[in-house]
Formats: sequence, C-alpha cells, structure tokens
Amino acid sequence: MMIPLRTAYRRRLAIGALIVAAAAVLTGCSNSGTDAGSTGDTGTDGVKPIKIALSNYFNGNIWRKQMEASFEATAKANPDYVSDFKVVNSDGSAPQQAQQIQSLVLEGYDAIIIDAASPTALNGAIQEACDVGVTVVVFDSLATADCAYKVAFDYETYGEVEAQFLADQLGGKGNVLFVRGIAGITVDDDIYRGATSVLSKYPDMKIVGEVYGEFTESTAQQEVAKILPSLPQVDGVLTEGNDGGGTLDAFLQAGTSPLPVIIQGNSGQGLEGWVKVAQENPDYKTMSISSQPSISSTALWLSWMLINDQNDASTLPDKTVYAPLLIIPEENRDAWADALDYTQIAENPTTLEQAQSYVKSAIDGDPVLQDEPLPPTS
Amino acid sequence: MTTTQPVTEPPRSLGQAARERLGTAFGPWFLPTLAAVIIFGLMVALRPLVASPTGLNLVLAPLIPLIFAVLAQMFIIAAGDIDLGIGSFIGLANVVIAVIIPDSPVAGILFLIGMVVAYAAMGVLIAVRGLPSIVVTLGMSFVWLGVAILILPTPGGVVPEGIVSFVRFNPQVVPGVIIVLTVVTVAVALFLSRSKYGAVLRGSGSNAEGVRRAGWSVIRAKVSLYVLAAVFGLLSGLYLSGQTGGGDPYIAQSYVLLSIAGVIVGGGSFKGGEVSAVGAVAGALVVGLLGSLLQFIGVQSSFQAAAQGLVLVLVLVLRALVNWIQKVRRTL
Repeated sequence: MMIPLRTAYRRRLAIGALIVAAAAVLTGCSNSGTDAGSTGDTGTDGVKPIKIALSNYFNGNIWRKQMEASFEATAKANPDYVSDFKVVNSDGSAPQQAQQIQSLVLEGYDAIIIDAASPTALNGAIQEACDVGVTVVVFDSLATADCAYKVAFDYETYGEVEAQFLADQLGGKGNVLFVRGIAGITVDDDIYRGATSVLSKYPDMKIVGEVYGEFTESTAQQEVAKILPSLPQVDGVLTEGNDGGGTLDAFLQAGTSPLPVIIQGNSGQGLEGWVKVAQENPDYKTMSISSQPSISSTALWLSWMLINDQNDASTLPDKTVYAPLLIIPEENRDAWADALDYTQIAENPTTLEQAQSYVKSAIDGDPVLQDEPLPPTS
Repeated sequence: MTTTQPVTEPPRSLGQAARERLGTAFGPWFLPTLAAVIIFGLMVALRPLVASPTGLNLVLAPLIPLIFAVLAQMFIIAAGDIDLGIGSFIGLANVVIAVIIPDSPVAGILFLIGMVVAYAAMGVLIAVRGLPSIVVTLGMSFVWLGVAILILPTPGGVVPEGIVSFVRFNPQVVPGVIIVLTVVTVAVALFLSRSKYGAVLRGSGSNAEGVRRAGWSVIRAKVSLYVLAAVFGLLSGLYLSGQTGGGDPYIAQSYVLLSIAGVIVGGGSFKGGEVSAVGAVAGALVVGLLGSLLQFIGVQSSFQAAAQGLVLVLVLVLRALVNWIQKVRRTL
C-alpha cells in the first residue's frame, strides 16, 4: 500500500532533482571557469588547481598511515596546484570502497586516486567515474580498469634484486627462509615470482621454509620464531617489506649464530637492528629494500598533469608510471637509521619535478624502477 | 516470572498475534524506514545531485548487493539462527560467475545450483541435529572461501557481458535501482507477511511447537529458509559480479557483519520469527548510506568507522525506547 506511493513521490522527486542537478552542473562549470582565471597570477599560467580525493581501503599499518600523510602534506604545501583535498577510508571492504568512489564522484572531485582493495572489485565504480569525466589514478595496490591511470611499483624487480643480492652474498649456495606478505594478494605474488625466478638459476639455493609476516614487524617475529625450531641451518632470509626487523629479533632471541643474511624492509626498527648487528660483527653484510609510502604524492602529481594536459602524461604507454623502489645499501644505512623513527618507513617525499621525471622516463620506455637516495635533509 | 509480570507476558502465541496486528499498523519497519529517509534527505540537502537519476544510481546501485545479503541473512535470522558464512558464499558465487560461467555456462549454473543444495543440507544438519548455527556456518564459510580461492587464486576473471548489462539495466523513465528495490521489497514482504507459508516460516523460528501442532514440518520450514537465503546470496553475488565485472573471493567478507547489523537495525530480533522485509531493506539502506553521509559531511576518515558504529547504536537505542513506550502503553 505504501510502496507505490513512495515510488510516485520518488519519481516526482527525481524530476525535480533533475532540474536542480542541471542547475548545479551549469553553476559548477562557470565556477571552475572563474577558478582557472583567478589563479592565473600565481605563477602557474593557464593551469588550474585540482580538487582531488584519496580513496584508501585500509589504514591499519604504518606504511598506509605514512601514505595518507604524504598525500595530505603534498596537497597542503601546494595550494597553487591543489584547491581542495580529502581522504576517505573503507576499512578493508571492497564494496564499501566502490560506494565511496561513487560518492566522491557526486561530490564533484576532479580527480580520485585509489589504493584499491581488489584488482577487480572496483572496476565498475572506476568506469562510472571515468564516464562522467573524473580523472582516476590507481596506485600501489592496483585495479585493472582500462580507463584508470596507474602508478606502480615493479614488485617483480623487488624480488629479483633481493634474491640476486642474497645469491651473490652466499656464493650461490645455501638455505633460504622466505618471509612473505599476505597470501593471495598480487604484491606477494609478484615479489615471490621475481625472487624464485632468480633462485631457480642457483640449484644449490633452496627455500627451506615460508611464513607470512603480513608486512608487519611483530607478526613476522612471531611467525619466524614459530618455524625456526623445525628448520635446518638458515643462511639467508628473503622478506617483503617492514618485516626484516622482527625477523632479525626472532633469530637473535633464538641465539642463532652465525646470523643469516636477513634482507631488511626499510623500517626504522629493521635499520636500527642492522646497525647494532654490524657494530658487533663488521663483516655482517645485508641490504634493505621496500616500496615508498610517498607513491600517493606521485599519484597526486600525475592527476594534476593529466587534468592540466602537462608533460604528455596522457600518452603514457599502458597508462602506467613506475615509482622507484627505495634501496638502502650499506653505505647509506647509518644516515637512514638516524633519520627514521623506530616505527617509520624510509621514503623520499615526491616533488612535482620528480614525478615529471618518472612520467618522462616511462614515456621514453625506460622507467626508473629503483633508486638509492639519501634521506631528505630537513 | 509469572507472578511478577502477569499482564505483560501472556502466553507466547497470543503475544505473537498481538504484536503482529500492531506490526502491520506501526510495525518494526517504521523506525528504520524513517532513519533511511532522514539519512537520504540529509544527503540530498548536502548534495542535491544525489536525487537526480544519475545520483540515485550512483548512491543506491552499490547497495543492491548488500540489500540481497541482508535479506538472505534475514531468512536465517527468521529461523532463529545466524549465518556467518554468507560473505564467503557470495564471494564464491562471484568467482563462479566470473570464471566458470564464461567458459561453460551449463557447468557454472549446475555449480550454483549445487551451492543452493549445499545450503539446504546445512539447514538440515542444523535443524535435525540441533547444531549451533554460528559454528556450522562459520565452518562452512572457510569451505566457501577455500573453494573460491581454488578456482581463482588471485582476483581476476571476466563477467559475461549479458550479466553486466542485465545488472546495469537502467531505463530512461525510472532509475533501474528503484525498480529492483521496489520489486524485491514488495515481493519478499508480501510473501513473508501475507502468504500462509510465510507465516509458517516465521513461526518455525519463534514458535516451533505451535507450527508442529498445526501440522507443518518445522524441519522443512527451516530448510526452506536456508534455501531462500542461498538464493538471495546468489542474487547478491550476481549483482556484485555485474557491477564489478570481475571475480574476487574476498569481495563480500564485510557483508557478514553488515548483513546482521542490517537485519537487527531493520527491526529483526535474534529470537527468531520477528523479522520484517521492509525493515530489513530499510536497515540495509541505513547501514549502507551512513558511510556516504558521513563522507559528505566531511567526517575525518579515521573517525568514520567509529561514527558509523555510534549512529547504528543510536538507532538501536531509539528502538528500545519505542518498544519500552509501547509496552508501557499496553499495560496502562
């Protein structure tokens, strides 16, 4: 009895709203027109600042928190480029993130950058955003929608670099423990594939155990401590980021000697541990590698370039830019260990110039996949 | 008990009947519907674009799979049980639709039918052996998830074009989401509260003895509820598949708790039998729209989850208050 009434009401509401919407779109257009004119005097001639939102699906670990913070810091520090920004979170749920993206479209953002909960689950929402003219950039954890631009880490390179380093250190021979990330996600898949492709060239290098550290130092420590008693002598440990420090602690607590070569994952905790071990044993060699939380800033700059038609960003092959992995070799170790807090991950704040150089190298077909910078001086 | 509350606690079957009559006039669906309308009204006030056909589609379309999940959960809660496996079940349906159906539609459809049969078997196990539904459905959730991961280890697959265009069907005159919403709500509400078997199904959860005495099989009724839940789970998976275009075993994990919250906010009760289809749909809208509303208001992302929870608790407190007032009135 009440249902038909409601639809009738809704229909009338919809027609009324259509008029309102048309008006809103018209005023929106004229507004953005004046915006572009008024900012012409700020040194960015002919370009307009963008209204941008970051949609994240999980902010429960330090990498993600730093990622959000990097976006906010870059947006705040560059009012000539970013007129308005917002960060939303979907608490691990893909359908909720899809809904958030659609709400952001209604809120009239020029660009939405997305750390995606699933490679496939957001594609419908992303397509709808593209259809109404919103610039969509996915980064870090990617979605496969064709219309979205992508800022990626080459995680296969991550696995190749650390496995090659380990093979060189161990002379192509030894037992390896693999501390993996989270089962069933593409980051873990890619790093594992890259690392095992290198190890397959060394028949004497064997993976004797695998645990899932979930990119979290404390989890890595518990999981490694649990599996250690069942393992033969471990000569090297491959890791996937923010898990090397916990792994090192597990070996230290078990009193393992000599310590295996443990690849570190760029956390303050891991680097401090490495410094301490090296003080006692100057011959102890390892390296540290991970992705940079500041990739969110690269995605922000890419959105700005796309909307303002700069740097031929729209001609990117596969619509993909690579953000470099950050590698800390031994000579940079102490500087980074000093610069980082215990629960911080190494990152280089990305400037517009850097983002532009990433875009250029990707268009030239020679993307920058890794970098060995010193910590930023501030 | 009987000496302290002689008037307010009449024999159970009578109380049920009284509540029913009251229910049709000013029932448990009222408060959640009001809440959904208020939330929607606020959203329109903040962004008038929401009320346009495009806006309605953007805001409501992602909620359709959730509404189906809430209705599936409603059938289980009507049986006096709780389903902790519905999220993984929907994820498995999504994976089957994205991976098996494109290759071989017949095998895919047989697989989906097999999933409904498995749900019926689960209902038999719970009803006949009296096993706790929480444990059985939790255990089965790992089975659904495990099978889905076996079929599709990492998210991918392509949902057939036909399903995508069916789900995104959006005629010019009335937004497609409104049609789906109306048809589903009316159909389920009429079946549950107007048909004879609907009454039997609700009775199997709240008053099994009465149903048995009236000559109906309680076990068959419970199994029917589980089959209905499975069918609505599949519909939820179908809409998720069409909307996303791909498969992901983990896609609907959050629906487990959201669907329970939707049913309870929508006037349902864990006692069984006391559920309302209109209420459940409204509950799903409340649970689903809250996030968008908080986002529109500009609540900081770190506080969004907490704010969402607080509003849900507030709705339940209001409901308890209304119940209490009604009870006091009845006794006066």
